[in-house]
Amino acid sequence: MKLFDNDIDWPDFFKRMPTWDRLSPGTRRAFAEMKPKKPVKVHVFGDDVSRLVESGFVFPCTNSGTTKLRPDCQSFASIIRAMCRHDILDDSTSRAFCRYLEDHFTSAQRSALCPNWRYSYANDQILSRHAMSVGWLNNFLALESVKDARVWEKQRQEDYHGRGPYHRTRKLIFDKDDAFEAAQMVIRQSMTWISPVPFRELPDQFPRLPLPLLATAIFAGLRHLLLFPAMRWDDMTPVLTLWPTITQRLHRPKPPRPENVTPDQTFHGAFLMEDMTTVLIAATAQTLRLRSDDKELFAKARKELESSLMTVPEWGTTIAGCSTSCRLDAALNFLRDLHFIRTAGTAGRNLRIESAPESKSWLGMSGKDRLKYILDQIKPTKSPKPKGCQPPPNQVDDEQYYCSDGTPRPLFLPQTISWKINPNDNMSLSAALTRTYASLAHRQFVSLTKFVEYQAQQPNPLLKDVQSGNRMEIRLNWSWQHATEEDTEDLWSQFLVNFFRHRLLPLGCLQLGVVGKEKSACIALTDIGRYLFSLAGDFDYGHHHELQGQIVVQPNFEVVFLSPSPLAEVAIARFSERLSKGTGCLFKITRKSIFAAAGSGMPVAQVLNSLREVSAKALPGNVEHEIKSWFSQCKHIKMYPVTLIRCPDAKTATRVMAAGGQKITPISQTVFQLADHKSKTTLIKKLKGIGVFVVQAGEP
Amino acid sequence: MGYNLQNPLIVQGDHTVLVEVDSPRYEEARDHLARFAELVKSPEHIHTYQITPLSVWNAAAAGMSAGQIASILGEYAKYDVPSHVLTEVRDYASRYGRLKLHANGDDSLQLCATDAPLAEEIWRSKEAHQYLESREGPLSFRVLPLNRGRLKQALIKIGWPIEDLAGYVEGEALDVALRDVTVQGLSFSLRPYQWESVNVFYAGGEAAGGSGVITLPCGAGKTIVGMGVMARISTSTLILVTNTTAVHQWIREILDKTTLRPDQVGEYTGQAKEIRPVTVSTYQILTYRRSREDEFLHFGLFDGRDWGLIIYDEVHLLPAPVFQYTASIQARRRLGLTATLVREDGREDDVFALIGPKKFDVPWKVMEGQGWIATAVCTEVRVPLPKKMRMEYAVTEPRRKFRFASENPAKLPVLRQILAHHPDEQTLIIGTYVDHLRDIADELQVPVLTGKTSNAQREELYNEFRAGRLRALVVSKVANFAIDLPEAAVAIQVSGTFGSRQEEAQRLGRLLRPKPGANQAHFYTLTTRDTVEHDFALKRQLFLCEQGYAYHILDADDSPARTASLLSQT
Repeated sequence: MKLFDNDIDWPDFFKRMPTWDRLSPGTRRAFAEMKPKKPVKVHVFGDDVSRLVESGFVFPCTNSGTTKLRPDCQSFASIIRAMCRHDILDDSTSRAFCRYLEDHFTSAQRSALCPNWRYSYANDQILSRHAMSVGWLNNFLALESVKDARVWEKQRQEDYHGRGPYHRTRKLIFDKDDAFEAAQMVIRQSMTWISPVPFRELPDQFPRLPLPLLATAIFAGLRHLLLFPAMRWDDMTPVLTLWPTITQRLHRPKPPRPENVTPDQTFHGAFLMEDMTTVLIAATAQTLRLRSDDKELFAKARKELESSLMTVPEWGTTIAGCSTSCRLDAALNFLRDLHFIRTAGTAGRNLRIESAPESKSWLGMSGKDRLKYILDQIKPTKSPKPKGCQPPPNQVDDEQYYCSDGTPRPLFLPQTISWKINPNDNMSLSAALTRTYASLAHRQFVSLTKFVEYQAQQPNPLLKDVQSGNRMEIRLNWSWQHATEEDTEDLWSQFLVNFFRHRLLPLGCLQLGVVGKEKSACIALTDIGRYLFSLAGDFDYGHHHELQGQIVVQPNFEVVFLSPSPLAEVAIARFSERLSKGTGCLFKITRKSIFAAAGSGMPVAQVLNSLREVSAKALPGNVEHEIKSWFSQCKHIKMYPVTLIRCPDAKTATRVMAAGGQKITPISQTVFQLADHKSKTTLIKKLKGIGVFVVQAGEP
Repeated sequence: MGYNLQNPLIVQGDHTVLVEVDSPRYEEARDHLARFAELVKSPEHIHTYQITPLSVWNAAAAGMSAGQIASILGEYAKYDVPSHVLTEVRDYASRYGRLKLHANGDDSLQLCATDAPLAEEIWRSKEAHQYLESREGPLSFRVLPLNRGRLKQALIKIGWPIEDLAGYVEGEALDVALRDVTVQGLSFSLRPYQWESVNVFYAGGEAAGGSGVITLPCGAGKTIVGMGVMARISTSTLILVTNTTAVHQWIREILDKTTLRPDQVGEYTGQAKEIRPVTVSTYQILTYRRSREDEFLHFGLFDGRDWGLIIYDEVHLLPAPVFQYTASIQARRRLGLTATLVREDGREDDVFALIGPKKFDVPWKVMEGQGWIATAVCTEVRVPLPKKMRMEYAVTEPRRKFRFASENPAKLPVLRQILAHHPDEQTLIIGTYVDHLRDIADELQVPVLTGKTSNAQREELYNEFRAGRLRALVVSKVANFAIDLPEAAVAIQVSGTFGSRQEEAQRLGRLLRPKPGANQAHFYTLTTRDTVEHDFALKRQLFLCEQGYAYHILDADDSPARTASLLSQT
C-alpha cells in the first residue's frame, strides 16, 4: 500500500500516536510485523495486549490465543509498515531514495513530479538528485501565494504527457486556503531540525496549527517529496524528517582550511612526459602496428610499452587511479594532441602509429625542456608557442566534454567530466582551477581529501553559473539534465580530483605523499606547478643540457646511458635489445638484434656510425668486430615454389622434356622443375596427349 | 630530482648499481660499495654491482647499518636513489641480528629473537620448527648443537639470517707458525691484504669471527691466507680441496712456508689415508660411496680428530653432501676460500649459513694495479674450417658439431704461430678432447697431461714446467683447478666445455700469478669461425669482458704472415 492511497488516514495516525507511545518497543516491533487479516499469537505483545485491545488496535484474544488487526486500524498499521520498509535514517543514498519512490509513488506520479524535464527512463535518478537538494525545498518556499501554489501543485498532479485522468480528478491539497501556508511553515521549521522529530512531538512543535491542518501540511510535504516519514529503529518511534542528506548539508560545519602535514613517503616525477617520451621513442624506433578493427595497439605491443613506462610507486598508482594501461592511453592521446604521432597506413595494410617530423626536435630537448614544452602548450594563458609547434587539434569529444560553440577543448582541462557550460566560461574555469591549486603553499603538504573538501565548499565557478540562473546542464544517464547546487559541488570536487589525477600529478606540478597508517594522500605544490600557474618564470627538473649524451658502449655489448638522451635511444633501439629506460644499462647489442636490423635493410656502416656518434668512449674493438661478423653472416636468398616432375626413366624424361620445352628445367637426368604454375595445366594436357599421365604426389 | 655529474653511481630500480670507472670518485665509491653489494660484472668503463639480501647481510655481519648503506648510495649516486631500493635495503638489514644463537650452559644452544612476532613466526615455520628442541620463553628456544647448522640453513631460506654467537670448540692445539724464510730459502711474509684478511677472519678470537669466506682473485695467494689463519689459531686443521694435485700443492706449500714437519701433515686421498694434525683431503674422496643408496664412507674424517679449523678451498664448488655434513659441525671454525661467491647452482645462501658471511674481499683490479697479480690480455683467434670439411660439418649430427668444430685441424698452424710469437714464455695448451690434445702434443713434440696421467707423472711434469725445462705443456681439464704453475705466462685454449664461464675463469686464473718483468699474461682462445663453437665462444667472450679483461678478436685467414701481423698488434 502506498502512503498516498485514498485509504491512508493521517489524522487518525496522529490520534493513535499517544497509545503507540505507551507500548513497549518489543510490542511496537511485533505490531509492525502484523499482516492485515492474518492472526498472530497474542503472546508476542506481552503485557501490552490489553492496551492494544482497549485502544482498538486489535481484536480481543480468541480461544486459540490469537488476535488480528482491526479494520479501522489498517491505515495506521500501513503507515507504520511503510516506515519500517525504508530505513532512510541509515541509508540515505540516491538508490535508497529511488526505492522509496518506487514503493510509494506510481510511475505517473513520479513523472508528474518532474514537470520541467523531458521523460527519461532514468526519471527516478533525476528526480532523486533534485529532491535530495536544498534547492528543491527552496523552490517550494519561493512560492508566494496560494494561487501560485495551486498552479505549482497542478503541474505536479499530471504526468508529463498530459494524460493521467486519475490525477486530474484528484482534489488538490492546496485547495484548502490555509494548507499551503501551513505546509510552508512546517518545511521552514523542519529545515531548522538537526535530527528527525518524532511524530508525537509535532503538535507541540506547531501549536498554532490544529491537528487536521498539521496532518494536511505533513501530507503535502510527503506527497511532494519535501518531508519523509521514518522509523527510529532503537525504540520504534515514527519520526518526520527532511531527506537526511539535506539536513546534513543544512547543518554541516564549515570545513577548516587544511593544515600542513609531514608525509611518510613522497613521490615526484612528470611521468606523463616520461611516458610520452617512451612511447614516442618506440614509435620512432620500431613499427607500432594497429589493429584494423578498432585502430588500437596490439596487446603484445601494449604490454611491452606498459612495462617500459616510468615506475610510479604502488601507493602512488592507487591514489592517482592510473594503471599503466590508462597512462599509456594518456601518453598516446597527448602525443596525438601535440601532433607528435599520427596514424598511418590503411586498415589491413600496415596500419600503424608513426612519429611526425615535429617530434624529433622535441625528443632532442632535455627532460626539463620537453616538460616545459608541454606545459606551455596546455597553459591557459596565451603564451607564445615555440617554433615548430602545432596548435591542438580542433576535435571535441562530445562523449566527454561539450562546448556549445564547438571550440576546441583546451588541453589544460581533463576530459573526464561532462557538462554544458557557456563557452565563454572555458577560461574562467581554467582560471578557477588555477586559483584553487595556486592557493597551495609552495612545497607544503596538505591532505588531498581535506583540500578538496574545503575547496568544494567554497564558491566555485559552476555554482555561480547555477545561482545566476544560467541553466547549466550536466550529462547524466545519457541525457542532459539541469544541475543542482549539490551537483555543482560534486562536480567541482570531481573536477579538482581529476585535474589533480590527469594533469597536475602526471606533469609533476604536485608532489604526492602519504601520511599515517591509513596512507592518506597529501599534496604539495612544486616549482613546476608554480610555472604552470604562471607564479614562476622557470623551474628545475631532471638533468641539465650538459648531461646529455653521456653514453658508453661496453665491451660486453651493453650500452649504458649515464644521462638520459631520447634521441640516442631512438638511434640505438633500432639495432639492439632494450633492457631498461631513462638512465642506466638501457640496451644490449645481440646477434639477434643485429640480424633483425640487417633484415630490415640497415647497413653495417649505419650501425657502427650510430654507435660511434653516441658513445663518449671509443667503440670497443671486439664489439665492432663482432657486429661486422654478424652482418657478414646476413645474406639474402630467394625462395619460391616450383613443381617437381619426376620421370621413371631417361626415355620418358626425354619425351617430357620435348613436351615441356623451355618451361621446364632439368635438375637431374629424370627430374625437372616447372617454375611457372600457370603452365602446369597446359603441360599436363600436353603430356596426356603423348601418353604420359601425371600422378600427383601421394597418389599410388 | 637531484643529480651530480661527478658522482660515479647509478642505482637502478632492479637493485643493480652501475659504477662509472672514469669518475674521479670511483675508487672511494667502489671501496664503500664492495662492502654491501656483489660485483656482478666489471667491463672496461662501467661496472655493475648487485645489492641482494645476502650482500646486505654480509655487510650487516661486518657491522654496517642500513643507514650507512643509504648514506653511501646517496653520497655517490648521480641521481636520486629509488626509494624502494632504500626501503628494501632497510628491510634486509633489519633482519640481520634479530635472531641470535648463543651457547647455553648445558651444552645446548639458545636461539633468541628480538621480538614476539618474529619468535612466533619461526616457531610456526614448518622449515625451522623441526630444528627447535623446545620453547624456553616467549622469545627464546632451545636448540641441540647437532641442529645448529640445519637451523641456520632453514631460517635463511625463509629470509631470517642467524647471527651465530655460540662460539667454537678450540680443537686440538697445534704449534704452527709461518716462516720468515721458506725451506727453499726464499724470504717470505704475508702481503698486507693477506694479513688483513687473516685478522678480519680471526676477529680477536671472538665468537663474531671464526667462520666466513675470504674472496680473493685467482693468483692472489688464497693458500697463503689459509696458512696464515692456521698459524693464528694454532689448532689442528682439516683442509678440503678440489683434487689430488691441489692436495699435493697445499702440502708442499705448508711444508715450505710453515714450521710444520712432514709427519704433522697428512694426505687423505685415494692413494693415502693419513689423519694427522693437519690433513689435506679432497671433496671427491669425502663424497665417495659405492652406490647412491650407500653411506659416504669417508665422512668419518670430519670426526677423525678434534679439528679446530676446517678450510674449504674453492668454496663455490663445495658439493651438496659436504654442505649437509658441514651443518653438523658448526662448532668448529670454518674458513671458505674462493675467487667468486657466485655458484652455478645458486646455493650462495647455504655458503652464508653454513660456512659464514663474506669476511674479506679485494677487487682484482686493485690487486692488478698493485702488481700482486698479472695483467691478462685475452685474444680470440677465429680459424676458418678447411673447405673440404665444411660439408662434413654441415651434415654432422647437431650434438657432434661442437666437438667437430673444436677439433678443427686448421687450429694447429695458428697454434704454432702463437707459440712462435711468444718464444721465451712458458705456455700451457689447454683443451677438452684428449685425442685432439694428443695429436697436438705429437705435432708440437711436447708432453701431454690428462686425467689418465698418473699423479707421480703429473708431479714430474709440473716440476719440469716450474723449473723451466719444459717450455710448453699440453693439459686437459684436469688442470682447470688449483694447479699452481706461476711460471705460465701464456695459455692457448684450443677447446672448452661449451660456454662454461667457470672453466674460463679457472683456466685464466692459471696465468694470474705475478710474472717477472712486465707482469703480463696472454690468454688465447682458438675457435672455429661460423660454427657452434663460435657461438659458445661468444658466451665466454662476454664473461671475460664482464670480468674486465681486455678482449681482442683476430681472424686467422690463410696467410700466416697476416695472422702473425695481427698477433703482434695485440
